[in-house]
Amino acid sequence: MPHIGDKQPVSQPVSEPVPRPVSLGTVTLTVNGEVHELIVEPQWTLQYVLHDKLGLIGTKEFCGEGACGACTVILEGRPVLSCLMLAIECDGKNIETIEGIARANHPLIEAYIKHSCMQCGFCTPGFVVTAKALLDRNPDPSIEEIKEAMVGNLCRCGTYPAHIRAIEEAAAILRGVLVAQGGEGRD
Amino acid sequence: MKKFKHLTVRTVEEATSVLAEHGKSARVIAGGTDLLGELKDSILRDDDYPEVLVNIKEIPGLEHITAQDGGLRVGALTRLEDVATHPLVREKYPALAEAAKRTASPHIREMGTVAGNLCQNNRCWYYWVPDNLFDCLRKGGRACYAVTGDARYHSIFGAARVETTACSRACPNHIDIAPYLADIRRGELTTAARTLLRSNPLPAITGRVCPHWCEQECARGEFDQAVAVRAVERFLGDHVLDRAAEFYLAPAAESGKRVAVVGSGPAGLSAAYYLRQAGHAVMVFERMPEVGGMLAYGIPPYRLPREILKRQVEAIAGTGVEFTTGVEVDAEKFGALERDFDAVFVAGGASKQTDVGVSGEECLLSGTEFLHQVYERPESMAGKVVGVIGGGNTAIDVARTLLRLGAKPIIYYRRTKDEMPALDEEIAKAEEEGVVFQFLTQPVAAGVAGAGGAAGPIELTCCRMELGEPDESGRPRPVRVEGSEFSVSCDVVIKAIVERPDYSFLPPEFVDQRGRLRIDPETGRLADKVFAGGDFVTGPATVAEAIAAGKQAAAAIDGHLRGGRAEESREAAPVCVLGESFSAACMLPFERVEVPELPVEERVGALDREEVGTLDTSSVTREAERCFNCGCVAVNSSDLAPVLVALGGRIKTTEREIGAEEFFTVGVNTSTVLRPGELVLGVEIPEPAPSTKSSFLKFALRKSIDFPIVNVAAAITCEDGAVSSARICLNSVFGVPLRVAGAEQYLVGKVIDEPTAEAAADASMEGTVPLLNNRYKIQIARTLVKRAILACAP
Repeated sequence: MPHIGDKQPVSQPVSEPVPRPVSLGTVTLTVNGEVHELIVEPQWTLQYVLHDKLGLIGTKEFCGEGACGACTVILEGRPVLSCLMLAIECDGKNIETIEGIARANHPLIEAYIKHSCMQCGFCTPGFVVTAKALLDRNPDPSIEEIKEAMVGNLCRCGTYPAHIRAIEEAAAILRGVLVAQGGEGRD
Repeated sequence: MKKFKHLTVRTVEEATSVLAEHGKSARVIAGGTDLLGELKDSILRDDDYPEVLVNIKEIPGLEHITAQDGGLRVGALTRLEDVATHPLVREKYPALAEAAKRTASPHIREMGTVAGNLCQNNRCWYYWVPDNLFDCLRKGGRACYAVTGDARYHSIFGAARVETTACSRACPNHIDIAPYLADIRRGELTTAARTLLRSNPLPAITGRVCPHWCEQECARGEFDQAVAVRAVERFLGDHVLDRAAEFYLAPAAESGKRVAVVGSGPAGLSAAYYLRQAGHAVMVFERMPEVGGMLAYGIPPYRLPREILKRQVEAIAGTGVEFTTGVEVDAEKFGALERDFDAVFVAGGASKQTDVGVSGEECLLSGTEFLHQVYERPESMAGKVVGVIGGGNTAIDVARTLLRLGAKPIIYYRRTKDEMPALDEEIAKAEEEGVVFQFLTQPVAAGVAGAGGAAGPIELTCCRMELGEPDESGRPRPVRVEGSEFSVSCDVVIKAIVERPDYSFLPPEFVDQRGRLRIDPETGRLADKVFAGGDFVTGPATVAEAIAAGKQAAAAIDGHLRGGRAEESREAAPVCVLGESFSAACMLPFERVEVPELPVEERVGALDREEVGTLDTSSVTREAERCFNCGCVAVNSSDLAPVLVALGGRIKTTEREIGAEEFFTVGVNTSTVLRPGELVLGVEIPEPAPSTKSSFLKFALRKSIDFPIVNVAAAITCEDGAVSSARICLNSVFGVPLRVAGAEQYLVGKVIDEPTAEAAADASMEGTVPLLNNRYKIQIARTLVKRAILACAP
C-alpha cells in the first residue's frame, strides 16, 4: 500500500493541466471502467448520481450522514461514503461500485453467499465494497484488521460474525491458498 | 440539500480571494463529511445556509506528511487515514497516529482531512440532532437542554456565554443579570453591585417597580420557576443606597462640557448619571417641586416609597449632578438652554391629558392629575364610589391608591382582563384587594346628577361591548352592543388613559406636520446638540425603558461632545466568555425564594405602607444559586486537537502561524481563532526530546463514528527516571481543549508509577462543574488521564 510520504506531492492535476472552473457542472466519471460524461447539479451527491442517474442501484443511501456505510464505493483506491461526497467534486476520478465487483466475479461475492452474510441484504453491497478495498490493500488481513476495516458498516440484522468468515475465505482464494467453489460470473 | 453555487479553486490565492469576495455566504469544503451532514440535516438556520461552497481539494501541495528539521509537517488536506498509517508518524508521534486512527469510522478517515478535524464545530447532541427545530442558546434560542438533560457530549468544566442570555435580551435595558448573580454566588456583593450599576443606575427603583421581563424569559421558568431577579436587584439597590458614598462617585476627570437635562424622571436621571460618569457637568431642570417625574408623581408610594426615591436622587446628586426644581421649560427657556449648554437632553415625559371620548369630559379627573394631588395632599376619600376608566397600569395604580384612601374604586374597561395592558401581577393584586372590575364596558357620557352643582355625584352612562375582529394592535376590537346603555352614579370619575408628550415648547422645526418628533431613532438626536428620550419620545412606557433611553442618549451625547461618532461610545457586544460557572444545586428542583409581602388587610391600610419587603443576604445568595448562568456547554470534540496541544504543535495558516493552544481558545459559535477567509495550510510538530513519550486515549460509545465522550493526549519527558516536563490535554470536556495544569505540575520531579498517576489524575479534575447527568464523565476523564500518564512511563 503506497504511503502519502512516498509520493509527495500527492495532489497532481487529475485530468487536464490547464486550470478551469469546475462550477459548470460537467463531470467525467470512470465508473467500473466505463467513462460517463454527465451534467450534475452542485448539490447532487455521488450516491445520487450513481443510483438515480446511472442506475447503479447497488449503492444505497441509508443514514445519509456517514454512520452506516451502505453507500460505500471505492474512489481512487479509497473506500469512501458516496452519500457524503458531491458528484461535482469527482470529476476525472475512478470509481468502483458493487456492480463492478460483481461483474469481475470477485471471490467475495461467492463467499458472502456461502456464509449467509445477509438477511435483508440492504447493507450487503456496502460491506462487500469495503471488504474489497481492504483486500486490495491487504491481501492477508488478520481478524483484528478485518474488524477494524469493517467497523464503519452497520447491519441491522446482526450478520457481523459471518462477514469475518467470508472475508477471510475470499482473501485465501485470492492468495491462491484456497480454491473457489462454484464461482460463476454474475453478470 | 438545498442548491448552492460550487467553485473549485486551484491555488491558495484563488481560495482566499473567492472567500473574500463572498464573505459569510461562502463555506470551504474539503473532506466534506461534516459540512454535507450539516447541510443535509437542516441543522443550519436558513440565514446560515451557505450560498457558495469553495472546494479546496484540488489545490496541489497541501496533502503531504514530511519530516523537517527533526520535526513533522502535515499538510492541511492530508487524510486522517494517511496520518494514522504513516510509518514516520507511527514511530515518532504515536499519539498523533493513534488519534487519527481513532477518529470517526474508516470511511470518514479516508475522506476527512487534518485541517477539517481541527476546525470542526463544537459538538452538542441537541444542536446536531437532524432537523433540529428547537432553539438552543447556540442557535439563538433561550434554553440549554443539556444542563438538565442527557449530556454525554457536553462540558464538565462550565459553560461558554453565547451572546446575551435570555434575561438580558428580554430587558429593555439589557442589564447583565447573570454576571452579577455569579458575583453574589462568590460572596462578592460589592462587585455584584458595581456590575449592576454599570447597566442600571437606579436598581433600588427598578427592583421595586420593574415589570421584570427578565423573569418572564428566564430559562429556569421552563424547569421550575424563574429566578427572582427583581427581588435580588432590589436587595442590591438597597445595598448601594445604604453605601451611596462608596458606589456613587464623582468622575475621575472633568470634561469641561455642560449638559442640560430637561425632566427628572427615570430617563432624565439615567442620562444625568451616565453623563456625569463620563465627566460632564450636568444640570437637571424639573417643572414640579419634587425630583423624580413619574417616579414621584405617577407611581404610588406603596410601590415606591418616597424615602427610597429621595435617597436615590441624593445618591446621584452626590456624584455632582445639580437639580433645579420648579422650572417650567417653555420656548424661551429652551432657547436659553440650547444657547448656554453644550448639549441638551429632553426627557419631559408624557403627561399631557387626552380625551377619553366621553361627552361631558369636563366632569372627569385625569389619572395623573389625581395621583399628583394625592402626592401633595393625601386626603381620605372614605366611602366614596369612584369610577376609573382604562385598563393600563395607571388605571390600576389609581384604583389601588383609591382603596388605600378608603374609596370604593370600580374599573371600567372596554375589553376583557386578557387584553388589559396593565401587568398581570398588578391586576391580580388589585383583585385581591377588592377593586371591582367592569369588563366589556365603555363609558359614553358623564354628567353632574341632580342639583348638587359641580360637587354633586356624577352620572356615568356606559354601554356594554363585545369583542370583534383584531385591530391594528392585534387585540380584538371592542364593538358596542346596541341598546345596552346603563347608568351608574359615582362620586368621582377618573380617566386613566394614554397621555401624550407636550412638544409645545420645542422649536417648530423639531416637529413634523402630523405633530410627531423629527428624531433619529438610532441616536435620539433632534438637532445638532439636542437629544430626546423616554416617554417624551415613545409615549407612556416603563421605568426600565426610560432608563435604557437615558443610557443610550448619554452615550450618544458623550460621543457628540467628544467629537466622535456616537457609536464609538456604545458598549461593545459581550464576547464569548469561557468557564462560566453555576452552582451544582441549580440543576435540581429548587424552590424560588418567597419575597416577603404584607397581607391584604395590612397593605390597604395606608398609602405609604410598602407592600413588598427586601430579602436578606442569605435568601439572595440562595436565589443566586438558582441561576443556570445560561451558557453553551457544547464541547470541542476534535481528536487531533489535544495531541497537537500536548506535542506543542503549531498551525500554519494563510495569514500566520499559531500555537495549537491559542488556535482553539475561542468558544462556541466558532471553534478556532481563524479570521473570515483565513485557511489552515498545515500543522507543524517540533521534534520531541529523545526521552519524550506520548500517548492518546479515547473513550467513545463504539469504535465507529462516535465522537469522544472524553479523549486525552499526554506528552511526558523523563530524565533519570523522573518527569522533567509534562503536557496533558483533555478534550470533549469543555468548549476548548483543556490542558490540565494541576496534573502537569504535580508530575514534575516524580517517578511515574500507579500512585503518582492516580494523584496526578485527581489533580487534573480540579474545577469541574458537571451538569445534572454527566458527573460520570469526571470518572472517565480521571481514568483516561491516569492511563495516559502510565502509558508515557519510560
